[in-house]
Amino acid sequence: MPCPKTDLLDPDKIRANLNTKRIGKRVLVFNSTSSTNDVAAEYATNKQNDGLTIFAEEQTAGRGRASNKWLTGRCDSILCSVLLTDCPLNPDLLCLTAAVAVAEAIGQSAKIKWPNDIIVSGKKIAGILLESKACDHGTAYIIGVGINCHQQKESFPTELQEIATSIDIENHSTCDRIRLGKRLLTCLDHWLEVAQKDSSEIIEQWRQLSIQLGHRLTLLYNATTFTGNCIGIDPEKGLILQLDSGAVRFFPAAHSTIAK
Amino acid sequence: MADKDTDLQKIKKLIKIMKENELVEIEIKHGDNKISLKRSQPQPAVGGAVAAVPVIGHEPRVVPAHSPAEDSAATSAQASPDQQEEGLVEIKSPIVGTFYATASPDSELYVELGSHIDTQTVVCIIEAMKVMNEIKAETSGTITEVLVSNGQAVEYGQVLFRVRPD
Repeated sequence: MPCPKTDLLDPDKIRANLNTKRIGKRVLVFNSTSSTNDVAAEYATNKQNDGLTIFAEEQTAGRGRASNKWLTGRCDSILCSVLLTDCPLNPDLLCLTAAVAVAEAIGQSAKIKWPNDIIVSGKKIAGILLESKACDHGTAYIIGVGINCHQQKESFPTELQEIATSIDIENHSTCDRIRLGKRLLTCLDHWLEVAQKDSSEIIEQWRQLSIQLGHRLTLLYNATTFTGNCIGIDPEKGLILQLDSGAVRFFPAAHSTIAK
Repeated sequence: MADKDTDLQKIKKLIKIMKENELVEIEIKHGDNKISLKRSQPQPAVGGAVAAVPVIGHEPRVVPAHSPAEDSAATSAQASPDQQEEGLVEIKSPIVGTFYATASPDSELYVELGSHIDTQTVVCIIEAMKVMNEIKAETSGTITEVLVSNGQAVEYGQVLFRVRPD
């Protein structure tokens, strides 16, 4: 079914004047696929595919963390996966770096809800799903990004209408997904380079963009509930909470879920 | 239609002239109209006539030479001599584009001879207008024929696979 939108994703337009060193050297656009992360994983075995970016107009089995489904209409979103076949960053730092980049691409009002949500006006506007694949050449990482663009409030299921938003809703105008896609690749390229040189800059960015820092929160870690004040983040060990008991504890992203 | 019939008559005459004179190539121009015919070198071992491939207009097409025994119009070059198993279902290309048999250049084939598929099985990718389109089988059964090769240009409606239904 053709997309009614005018900003159909076009690999040549996305790559035109794209000033990146690594990300988006090659861009593929899929009309429809199960999940862009799955497509990127097919390319992971060849180390030469570092920086390859897969976009899709539609995902039939898009997913978030913990097997949550990522719901989106056709041509309504940026759905993309960036393949890193040569990445020295650990997964926690990589996840933070991706969050910083996606938030910057979306704009000044975007905030990070650790570990993988991007929030505008208190509602989720984008999500990040980091996956890895063991290959002969080492571990390849796939940064999956979903950004709500053209959805209107009624586009979301009723249960999500108060907790999800889109760029068009927030800006009261229609965004250009090609421009946003270019900006996303540019931001990822920049912050991945920064992270490899100095992780403290990523931490500083996260501190500025976090909606959780300094706030009380509850999370599930290995099926146990912990409550405390968020006092920071560690690039290797995850979120730092000062628990009600007074103890300070780290919570790695892979095994933690924010309860509230 | 009258013009097409006239062209067909001309082509048949030209084919006859080519055969009688053992010509390999002939081109006739009349104003904006051009008829260009090519055929492969006559092969004595085949014994029969060699079909010519007509090209009408200004952009000649390259078509592989076939050597069917019967002399006829251009369409004979497309005829498949293979005997087909009855009851097979065809998976056709829904669009014009480039056929890819794997998800990535380093991936395994989506399907091959003998692969069992269901309606949701992705059988190939066709790249069209710079967009990759995953093609689903929309039928279930066993692949008995693969009629295209990786990287090949395919037409709308071109048969890609034949499937023996479950």
